[in-house]
Amino acid sequence: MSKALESVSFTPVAPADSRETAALMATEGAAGKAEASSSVTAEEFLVHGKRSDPLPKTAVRVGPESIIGKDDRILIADSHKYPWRRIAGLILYPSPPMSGTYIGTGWFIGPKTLLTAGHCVYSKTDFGGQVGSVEVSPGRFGSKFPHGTVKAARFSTLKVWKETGNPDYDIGCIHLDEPLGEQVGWFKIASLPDADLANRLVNISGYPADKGGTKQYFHANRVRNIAPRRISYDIDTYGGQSGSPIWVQDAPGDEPVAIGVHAYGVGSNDPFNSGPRLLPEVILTIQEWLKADGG
Amino acid sequence: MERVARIVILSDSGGSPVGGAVVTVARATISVPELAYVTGDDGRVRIGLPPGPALLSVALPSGEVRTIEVAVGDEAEGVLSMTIEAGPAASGPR
Repeated sequence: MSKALESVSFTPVAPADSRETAALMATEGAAGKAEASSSVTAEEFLVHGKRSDPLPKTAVRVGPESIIGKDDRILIADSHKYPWRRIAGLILYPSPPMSGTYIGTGWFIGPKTLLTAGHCVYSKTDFGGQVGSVEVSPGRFGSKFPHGTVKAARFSTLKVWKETGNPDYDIGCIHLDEPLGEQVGWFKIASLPDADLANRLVNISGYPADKGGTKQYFHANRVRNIAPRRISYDIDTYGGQSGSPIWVQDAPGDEPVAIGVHAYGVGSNDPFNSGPRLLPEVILTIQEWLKADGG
Repeated sequence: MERVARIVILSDSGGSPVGGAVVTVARATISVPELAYVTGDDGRVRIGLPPGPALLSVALPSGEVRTIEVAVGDEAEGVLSMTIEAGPAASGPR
């Protein structure tokens, strides 16, 4: 039986009445009330099921960071549509007197709740602690903000991440005052066991800074390594994509199900990009975050 | 290995701060968070980096992209001052 991991919130968030320890290891998704038509690019780009070999590479390498082999990222030209609109470009503002800003990615898991990397809301080395505020722009496409932009000032993260900086626990939450998720929809999340993750084809979409950080780019490939709390994959990403959803779909037309949070690029110690898994105890904590937002 | 904090200060050859530059970590000794860092009007932004050699990619407001090798010590906090010269090269931290 799983027990929720302890979390910390940076502004008052009402605690959940009780901690669910039942075996509910998933939350429900929603399509959103905005224009019902789905993205045609989604039908073309998304990957499904499993594959024993990596997907073939097609394009030209553009840079060293987190581009594994050739760069196969694809611009999402209709990011205002389902499912891309559930993913938001983030601009992170540190607390004064620090200057500069940061680019990241987040995604809706409820009407007022987004999931992102823990280091997008709390980082001792980057922000000197908690982030000051975050601008959230779902489906942003350059200077177009098809679903508006809202500013958030309430955040949560896992206590282990805050206290130790362990990358396996690098998961954070953005709490909105506005129910923007009702418009754009939100991802279902679920915990997949190792056997289900092996050779899974997974999708990642976010806002890479080498492309300006204002347009959504997508890539997909298979899971390469499965650690107890983390998965690695040969999917091309770049700085700015921290916090992007890692999601699976069993078949075309099936509901997207997020199973991890992209957080780390390739390093000398790891040839693949990676992110923490959404394990059962993490999902229990996320359910508390959703409840705190009335979700 | 834990990351350490570095204030990156970008300036041009005349000593003026370079704001609006997008800095990313192109290579480091360990996997690092995939944040992108944008310098403020004062040319500064704080970046967490692991000790050791690192390669930073700097996209200037002009659209030019420079890569800069830096050596990061193991002090908990520090400053990396960089001058963006005209042309393809940039001077390293001083």
